[in-house]
Amino acid sequence: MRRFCLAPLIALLLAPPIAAQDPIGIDFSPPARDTTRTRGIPDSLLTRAIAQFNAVATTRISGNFDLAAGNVSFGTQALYRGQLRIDGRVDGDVLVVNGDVRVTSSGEIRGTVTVLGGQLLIDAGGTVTGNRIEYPGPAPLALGPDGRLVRQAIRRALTDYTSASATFAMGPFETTLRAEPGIYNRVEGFPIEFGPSIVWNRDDRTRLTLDLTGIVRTATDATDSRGTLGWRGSLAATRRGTHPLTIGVRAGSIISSTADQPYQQMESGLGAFFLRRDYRDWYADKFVGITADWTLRPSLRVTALVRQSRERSVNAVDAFSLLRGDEPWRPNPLVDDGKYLTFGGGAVLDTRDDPRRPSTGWFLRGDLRYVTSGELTPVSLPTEIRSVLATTGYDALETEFDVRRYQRLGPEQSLHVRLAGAGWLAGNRLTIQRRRALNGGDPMSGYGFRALNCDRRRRSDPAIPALCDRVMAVQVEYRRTLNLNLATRIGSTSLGFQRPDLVIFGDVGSAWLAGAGAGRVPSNRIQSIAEWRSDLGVGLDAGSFGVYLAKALADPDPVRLGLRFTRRF
Amino acid sequence: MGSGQSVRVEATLESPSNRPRVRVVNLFDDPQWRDAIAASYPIRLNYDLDLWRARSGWFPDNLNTRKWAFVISRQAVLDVYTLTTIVAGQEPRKENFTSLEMLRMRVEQPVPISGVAPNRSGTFWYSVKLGITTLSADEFDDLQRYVQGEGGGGGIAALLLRWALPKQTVAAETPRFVVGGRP
Repeated sequence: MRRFCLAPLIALLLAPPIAAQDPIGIDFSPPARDTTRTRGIPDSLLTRAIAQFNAVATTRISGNFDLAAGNVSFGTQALYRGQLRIDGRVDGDVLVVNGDVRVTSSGEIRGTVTVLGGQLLIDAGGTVTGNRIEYPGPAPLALGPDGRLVRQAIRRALTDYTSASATFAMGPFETTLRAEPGIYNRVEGFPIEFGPSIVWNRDDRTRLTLDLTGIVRTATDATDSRGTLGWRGSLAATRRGTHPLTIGVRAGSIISSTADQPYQQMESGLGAFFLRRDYRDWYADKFVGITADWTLRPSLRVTALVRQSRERSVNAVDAFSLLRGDEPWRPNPLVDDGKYLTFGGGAVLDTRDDPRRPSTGWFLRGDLRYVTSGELTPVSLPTEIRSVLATTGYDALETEFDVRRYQRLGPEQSLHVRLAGAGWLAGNRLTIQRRRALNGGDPMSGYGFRALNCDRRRRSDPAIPALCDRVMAVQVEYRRTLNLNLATRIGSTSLGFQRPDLVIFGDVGSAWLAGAGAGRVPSNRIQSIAEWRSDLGVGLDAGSFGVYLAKALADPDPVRLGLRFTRRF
Repeated sequence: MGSGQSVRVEATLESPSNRPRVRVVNLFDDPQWRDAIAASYPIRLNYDLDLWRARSGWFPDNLNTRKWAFVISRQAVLDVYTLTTIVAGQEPRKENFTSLEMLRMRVEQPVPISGVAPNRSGTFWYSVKLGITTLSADEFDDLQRYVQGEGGGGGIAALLLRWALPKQTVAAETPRFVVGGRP
């Protein structure tokens, strides 16, 4: 009697200690350095599995299979992606790749069972006479077109349905061929971009990337202000590790957007293609430069660049648009043609929980650019807007900053605040391509396009160029997730509002000319708050798109309806 | 709901570490979910865990939010139930159970959550929100491919961790606790 009572105690004493990490727990701790990672499948085992699967004598099974009680299979049985249930007997080995095996109480395997990317379950009474090899993590193996098992090529995520790419891996080299559309605009039409990207994983720490992109512009330019073809290329070396560092060389002949960029790229392209509203201005940009990108912490990144460019004006062409095809395009403004040398540096601190749909954290970005030119052909502007620029010895310092705070107030609500600004700091006045405006839609939803563009010419310019020295805006929004479903499902895609965010927002902002003189704001000050424009609005954000209504305050502008395909900020 | 009890979520603190533990209760007593699981409909449980810090006279500070998901499914051929744990940035974890009772014991066990503790002083608490919904056939197919290493990256994991329209949402909070002896 005494012996039976002691047995559980002895068993308890001999039992292995309780693991520090609860096996059912969830651990969000950052992975410690030099700790053992998830148990991966050894390369030798993958090689052996491929050989075993592809062997002539192997019986290959795809999908689910149940070997019924009383039945016997001879030789190696191999299954890829599925479930194998053994109620009968297997006289041979069993190999299962990315699937599970269950040997029931009547089941018997007279051989080795290898499960890669799944689980082996053996019921009481079930028998496996050979070794049991089991790796639950997914096996990087795939079936080739001929039904043979091969190693999976490293896949490149397709972020855009409109792009196509194919990736080939050969040893340490990975080549991706891609074709994708650029931003639709009134200068190029549809720029179709294509070319290879070759990555050489030299070792675990070093990677070299060569990107070559050809650009075909679909719209014809009768004025020959730009060519039909463009290109860009880059060669970058990345040192991985705790503080990844990338240094690269870039060059190209492209159509670039001027510094004033309301809306995101995709929104600008959609506006041009569907509505004949191109919210950006463009110039021809031939450049070569060196860039560096250093990640100091996962949330902190600094960048630097030196860039030489030749920039010149291009014309808007008769590009197609789905609607308003009979309207002329807004002319593309002239820029200050010249050869520029730019030195730039910036830093980004991003502690947001989700960059696409943030609800908590900070986003801080700051950039400085110092631009010089010894060969400049400036556009003539009235001195009320800009003093005369010299054709040589040009230099200017400018900045851009964006400070955002995302504050969660509860599981379903958050408050977001943003202060953003950009413009001239010192030196000569900015070139036209670096000037700004206060834009309607983004950030000021209650106002029209370039509501404040600082163009004081008596005759208004139909190109509506951005001519301000400085711009600054503050945006505040309150978001609350609504438990309502106004969506329908087509295939695997959900269309409509499914748990949308109700957005209540307000914006204030201004853009101005800096310096001494009438109508200007002294260089060491920002414009008086009393002069700032403001609006209030409300909207529904479904995630992939949002609908907003906004009204300018103290201005006679009508209530404006806006459609956004990205978050406001 | 019938005669079954409704689902709820519990959030408790381990003593003395104040590590949160999250537990779903009555999932298998609620006829809509019990019947869905028995009928081989995959269901997902999306968890949001927030760490809050009290601030006098101002909104509480949300220090971090962590998300994870459980997907419960039944593999008909093997006659097993599978619990897949999805955590962003981690490999999916799959566990098989040969009976519904074993699955129930596992799912209703309190889950300790590590790596979310506050790293400063103050008064804190955790809130947890659980959304339960069924998984569409397409989503389940994507999940299967992802678990088997063919998902083309973590896209499906991100999709699963995002909120779908939950059929049911329940929430709970832990008691408040003080770190550093200073509220």
